[in-house]
Amino acid sequence: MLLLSVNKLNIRDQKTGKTIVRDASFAVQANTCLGIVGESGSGKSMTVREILGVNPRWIQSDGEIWFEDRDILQDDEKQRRALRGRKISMILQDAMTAFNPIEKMGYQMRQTFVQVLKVTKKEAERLSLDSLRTMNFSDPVAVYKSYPHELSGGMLQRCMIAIALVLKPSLIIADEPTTALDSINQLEVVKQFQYLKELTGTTLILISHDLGVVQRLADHVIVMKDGEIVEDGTVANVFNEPQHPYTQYLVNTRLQLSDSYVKTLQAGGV
Amino acid sequence: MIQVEHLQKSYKSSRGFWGRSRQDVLTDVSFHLNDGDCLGIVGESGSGKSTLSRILLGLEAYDGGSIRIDGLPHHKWIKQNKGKFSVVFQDYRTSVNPNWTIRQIVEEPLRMLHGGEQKQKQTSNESLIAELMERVQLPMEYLDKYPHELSGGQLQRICIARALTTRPRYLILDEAISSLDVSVQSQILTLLKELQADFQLTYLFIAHDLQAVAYLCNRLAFLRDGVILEELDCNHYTCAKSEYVNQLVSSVLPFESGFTRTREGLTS
Repeated sequence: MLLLSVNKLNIRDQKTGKTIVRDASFAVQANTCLGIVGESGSGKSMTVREILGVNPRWIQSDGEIWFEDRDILQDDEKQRRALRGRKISMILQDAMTAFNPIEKMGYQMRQTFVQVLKVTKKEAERLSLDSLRTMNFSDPVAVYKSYPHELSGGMLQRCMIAIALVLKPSLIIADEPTTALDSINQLEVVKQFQYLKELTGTTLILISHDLGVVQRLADHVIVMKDGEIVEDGTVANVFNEPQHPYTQYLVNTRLQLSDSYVKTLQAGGV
Repeated sequence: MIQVEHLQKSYKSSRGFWGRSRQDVLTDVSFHLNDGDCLGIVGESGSGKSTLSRILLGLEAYDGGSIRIDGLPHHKWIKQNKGKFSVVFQDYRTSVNPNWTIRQIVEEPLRMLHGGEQKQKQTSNESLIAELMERVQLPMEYLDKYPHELSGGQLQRICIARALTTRPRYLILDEAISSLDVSVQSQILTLLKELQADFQLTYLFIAHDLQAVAYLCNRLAFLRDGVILEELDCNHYTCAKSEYVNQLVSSVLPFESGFTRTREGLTS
């Protein structure tokens, strides 16, 4: 089943007159994960922010974004707002700044649920603790009662996933969810996403410049360069037989980085 | 050669009404850094990596232990060898002055070092900068641009060029590639490897990414909670003893591709 399809999406910055994304078309099947890779400045984040409708006013777009049998680009702000959080939710790169630093985690989670799901405070608390438990926290109550600065980046990232979990959106967009984390936390978050995929069958759009993460999680992948989609296909196809020179370059540089590591690992394993 | 023995560092943290407790950042750090080596220091955030680099640069005092460079005490060596200890920071945007042109940025260490005699040195400076710009693979026109006109990878190259202007012997790379794209990371690492051979540099590479460290370094030290857990040769990290190191090794997400076979054909 097709969940989301983007047709000939163009995004322009009216302030500078530059085209940020040109003729982007792609589709996301339900219960799959789409990876978007590309270097910074390639328009990955702009594209997904347009899907969510959170770009600033001077960013103009045309084209079609089909979601739930309608073109959501034609919707007014009120309809777009109703989608955000409930139907499409976003997991941000910088978990440290995504939360309010002066409120406890529990309060922030509860507040979100009360507002979006229209449940009572007590019910919201139960939901928060339950979802924290599924996120593999050893002591969910302690997390619930702590301030954002008391938690590590990886823990905050997991809190954000926990919130997304409870809202049960049909589409989760994760914008560089592991970039700001060190490798142990990174693996933890990647595992959490895998678990999320298996458990709930959520549809996921994953943006990352780390091909390792995308390879681990995604089913399909699109490669963006300077606002254009240069290659798309299944993960195995794109990463094993890259056609476009830019994809080849990305794969090459990534291989270079892990080559000496993998070699030592294999030598040690023998 | 740098010898660090039982280095300690703690910060004041005012807790409670009377209390002035101290928070230990480094409790017992010892390592050796031989000339021509590249030592990677791996640790998660908050393990004291950056404190260690600031102490070595002489930007911060240490509370206990000793640092000797070429047999001399640390502060003496720093005084006698100005500009021989250089650094590249993680955040390239905030480590350059946004109001300066790239030329001013690269020249700054030279101006600081030579002070008044700068006039006569002008011509030699110019040739040195030209050489460095060529080494970091950036065109000379960039010298008249401003930092915001450059991409992250380009700006980090400028920071590397700036660090090399004083012909240092030791270069600290404090998470120097962590905030770059993976593809650019690999370019910068290749550049650093070339520079090490050409300038006879000794690197102290501070990072949390084991893959990058394995690419550049020949020695590895794992720092956790202010203690060096283990020091290993780079190709022996699979036989690490401590659980933390093994956990770290297994947490790396390697990237595999059948594209490997055609790689040689492409690069040549």
